Amino acid sequence: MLQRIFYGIVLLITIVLYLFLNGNIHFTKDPLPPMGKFLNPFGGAWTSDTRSEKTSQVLNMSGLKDKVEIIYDERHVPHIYAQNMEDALFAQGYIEAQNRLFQMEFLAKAAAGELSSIIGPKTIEIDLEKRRRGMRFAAENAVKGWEKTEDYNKAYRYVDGANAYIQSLQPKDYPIEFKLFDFKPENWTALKSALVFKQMSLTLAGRNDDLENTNLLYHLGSVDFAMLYPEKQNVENPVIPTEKPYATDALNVYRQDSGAAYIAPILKSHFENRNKGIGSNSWGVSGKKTATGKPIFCNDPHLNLGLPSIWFELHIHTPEFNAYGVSFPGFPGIMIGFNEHIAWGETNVGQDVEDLFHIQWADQARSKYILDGKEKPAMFRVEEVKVKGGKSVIDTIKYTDWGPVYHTSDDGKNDLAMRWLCHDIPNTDEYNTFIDAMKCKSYDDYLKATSNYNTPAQNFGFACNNGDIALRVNGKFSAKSEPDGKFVEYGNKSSNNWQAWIPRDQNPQILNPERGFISSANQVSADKTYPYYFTGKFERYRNRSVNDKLEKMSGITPDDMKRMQQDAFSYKASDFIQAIKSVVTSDQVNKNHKALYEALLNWDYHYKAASEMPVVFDLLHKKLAANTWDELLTLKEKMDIRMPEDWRLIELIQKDPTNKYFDLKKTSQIEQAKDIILLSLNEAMDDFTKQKQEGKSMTWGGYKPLHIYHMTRIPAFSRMDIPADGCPDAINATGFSFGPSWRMVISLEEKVKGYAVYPGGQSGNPASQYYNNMIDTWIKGEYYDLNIHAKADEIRSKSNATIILNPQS
Amino acid sequence: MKSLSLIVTIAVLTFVLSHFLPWWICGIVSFVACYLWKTEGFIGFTASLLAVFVVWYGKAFFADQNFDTPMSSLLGALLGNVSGGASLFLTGLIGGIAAGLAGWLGGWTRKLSTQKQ
Repeated sequence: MLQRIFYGIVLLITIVLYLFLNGNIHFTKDPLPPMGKFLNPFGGAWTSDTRSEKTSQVLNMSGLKDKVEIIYDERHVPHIYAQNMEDALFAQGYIEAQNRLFQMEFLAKAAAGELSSIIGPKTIEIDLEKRRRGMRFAAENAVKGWEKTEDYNKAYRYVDGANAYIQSLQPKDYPIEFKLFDFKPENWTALKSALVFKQMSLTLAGRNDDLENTNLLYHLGSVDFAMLYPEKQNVENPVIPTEKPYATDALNVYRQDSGAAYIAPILKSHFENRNKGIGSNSWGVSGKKTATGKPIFCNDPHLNLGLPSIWFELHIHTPEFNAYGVSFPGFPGIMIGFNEHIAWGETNVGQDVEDLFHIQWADQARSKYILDGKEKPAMFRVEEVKVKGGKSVIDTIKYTDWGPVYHTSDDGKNDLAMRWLCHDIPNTDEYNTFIDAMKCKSYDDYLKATSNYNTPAQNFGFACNNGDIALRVNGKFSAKSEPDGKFVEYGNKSSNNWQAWIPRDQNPQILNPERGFISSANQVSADKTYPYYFTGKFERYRNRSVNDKLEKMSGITPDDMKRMQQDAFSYKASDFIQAIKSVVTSDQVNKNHKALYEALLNWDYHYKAASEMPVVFDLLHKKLAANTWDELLTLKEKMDIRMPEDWRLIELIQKDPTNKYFDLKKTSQIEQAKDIILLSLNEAMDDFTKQKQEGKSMTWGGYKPLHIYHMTRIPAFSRMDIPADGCPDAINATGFSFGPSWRMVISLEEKVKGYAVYPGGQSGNPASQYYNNMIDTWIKGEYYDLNIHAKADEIRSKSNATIILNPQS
Repeated sequence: MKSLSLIVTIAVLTFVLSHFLPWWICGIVSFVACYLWKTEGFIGFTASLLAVFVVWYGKAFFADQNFDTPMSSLLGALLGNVSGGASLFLTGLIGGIAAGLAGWLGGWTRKLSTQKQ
C-alpha cells in the first residue's frame, strides 16, 4: 500500500514536472520559459531558420507575376531584383519576415496592447494604456480608409509576401524569442501593418501637454504662466526660412470663445512623459555649396536604438526604378533612402495633434455625455487584455465623438477624452507615400508622393540630381488659432473641436532656398508670420548647430557631411555657461572648486565620451534647474505639470536675474540668479568630486553610456554600456538608448553615391553574425558604401545566399 | 548487458522520434522501454537519464556549431550568466531528468501491475 502511495506521489511529481517544462503551468508570477520545450535540441532554442544566411534557395510562390531574385550581400542587405512593383513588395514582405519576424509580431502586439499575452502580468499596465489610447481603433480606422483607395492591392502584396515566409516555417524554425515566450507567429495582416505604423505614430505624434498646461495655468495664474512658458523664442531658425510673406489667402481660422479652456486642476493622471530624446536631423545642400556641383542630402533620425534595429536596409530594383534605403519592418516601401534621381528623408514635426476634452457626463453610469446641450450615448468598447499565466483583465473604454475617454477619474468629474489625429480614418492612400517615393524622379513627383501623407507629420526633405533641393512640413494639421489645443478644453460644445484643415499648399515649404541649403532638426516649422498657430514640442539647439555649419561651409564633400553628423557640440551647454559667466565671476566660486570651474569655462562644449566636462555640466544643469524651480517641483509632486524649457531659464538668468522664481523657498533670505548659480556650482562640484573619489567613472562615456536593448530588454540579447560621443542637444544626438538610428549621406552626382550605417544588424537572430555587426562601425563614426548600382551578377559572385522566387504555375 | 541495450534503445528511439515529435517523446520512449525491460528500482531512472542526457547534450553540442555566435553562450547568458558549457549541460540534464522519472515510473508500473495479478 505504502509503495502505491509513493508511486502515486512520484507519478504526480512527474506529471507536474512535464506540464511545467512544457509551459502548461506556472509557479511564478512572471511566467518562466517552458524549459523542456525551450531547451529541446530538436526544436527549441538550438534550432532556428538560418537558411537565408547560408544557402541558395529556389522557391515557387503563388501570387507572383514574374520571377524575383533576392541576393544578400556581405552585410546581409537584400538586393531585390523584380520585374514590377507588386512582386518587389511581395519580396520585401518575404525578406522582412525572414529577418525580423519577432520584431514585427512584437511591435504589432505592443501597439495593440497584447504584450501580456506573451510576457505575463508585468506588461498589463502598458497594454491597458494602449487600449485606453485606442491604438487598435486607430489601426482599424487606417485600414478602413486605405481599403477605399484604388491602389490598395499593392499593400496586400507585402502582406502576402510576409505570409509566404511565415507559412513556410516549421515550429522548430521559429525565431528564438517565440520559443522563449512560447507562442507562435500568426499570419501577417494589413491591420498589423497599420498597427506597427500607429506604433511609430505614437512615438512621434502621441503626446500633449494639455493637462500640464491646464494645471500650471490654474496654479500659477496667467501672468506667471506666460512668463515661464513662452512658446516663441526671440531667436529662431524655423525649418522653413521666410523668403516671402506667407499666403494672404489663409483660412480665417475659427476662434473659440474665451471659455473653451477648462479651469480646474486635475490631480491624478495616467499620462506618462514619453519620448525624451526622440528627434532627427536632416539637411540638404545645393550644388552651389558642394565640391561636385551636385546636391548632397543627409538624414539621421534619432529614435530608440534597439536590437533588432528599428530599420531594415534594402535595395529594390525593377525596370521602373532602382531604390535603396531603410524600411520600417512590417510596412511596405522605403521610408528614408534614395534612387538614381532623388534622395528623401524625414524629421519629426512637433506640432500638437493630440488634444484633451473634458467630458460632462449626463448620468452616473457614464453612459451618456452632454454635447451641444443634448445627451449623446457613449460607445462602449470592451477590451480584454489576455495575461499569460493569469486571468484576463477587462477594461471598458468609452468612446465619444471626440475619441476614447483616456483619462478617468474616480468621481467622473475629471474624465478626459482624447482627440488624436492618428485615430482619424484617412481619406487618402497615405501608405503609398513610401512606395511612390521609390519611383520619384523630380520635385513634382516628390510633391505628389508626399501630398497624400497624413500623420505623423514629418519634415520631408528632398534633393534631386537635376539640382533641386526642397523641404516640406508635411502632414495633416488642423488650422488653429492661439491657444487652441494648448489646454484641456470643454467637451460639451462641438465648436471647441478642430474646425478646418490647413490647405496642404499652405503647409510651410520651400524649393531651392536662396541660402543654398535646407535643414530641419525638429525646431519650429515656420516663423512668427505664419498665419496658423503652431504649438507643441520643438527643438531649440541642434538646429542652430546645423544651420551655423551649413551657412559657413562650401565645397562640401560627403566626408564633410559624415563628420558633421558626428558633431558633439551642444549649444545648450554653451548658452548656459555664457549666462553663468554673465552673472558670476571666478573669484566668487568656492576656492575648492576653482580649478574645476576654470576647466568648465575652458570646455569646448563638445560631448566627447572621454571627457569629464560634460558630466560636470550635466550635474550643474540638474542642480541649477532643481534649485531654480524648487516651487514647481513641490507642485509636481501633487499633479502633472511640466518644467520650463532650458532656453527660458538661460534667458531669465541673463535678463531677469532677480526674478522671484530664483528665490529658494526653504531659506529665509531672498536669492537671486547669482546665489542659485553659486549654490548649484558648489553642490554639483561637490557631487562630482565625491563620485570621482568613490572610484566612479566620470567621463561622459562611462557616466552616461549608451544602451542598445533587445526589444524585450533581455540583457543577453542586448549590447549595453557603450561609451559614445554626443548628447540630445548635439547634432550627434545620443542619449541613454536613443540616438542616430540611421546615418545617411547621399551625393546626387550623375551616378548617385550613398553612404550610411545604423547601430545594429540586418538579422533579428541573436546568434547570427549579422545581429549587431554594424554597431562598432557606427560608434567609430564610419559608414558603408551603399551598393545601388550593382548588377545582380556582381553581388551574386560575392554572395552565398540567394533566393529565387518563381511564380507558381 | 541488459542495461546497455536499454540505454541504446532509449537513446536511438529518442533521437529518431524527436525529429518529428514534441520534446516529451523522450519521456514516452523511456517509460515504454523500461516497462518492457522490466527495470527494477533506480535502474530505469539511471538508464533513461543517461540515454537522454547523451542524446540531448550531443544534439545541442552539434547544433551549436551551426550558429555564428554560439547559441550555448547566448543561452548561458540568458539563463543567468553561466558559461556555454553549463547551458549545454543543463540542456542534457533537463531532458535526462524528465526521461529518468518517466523511465523509473515505467519499470515501477510494470512491477505494480504484475503484483496485482
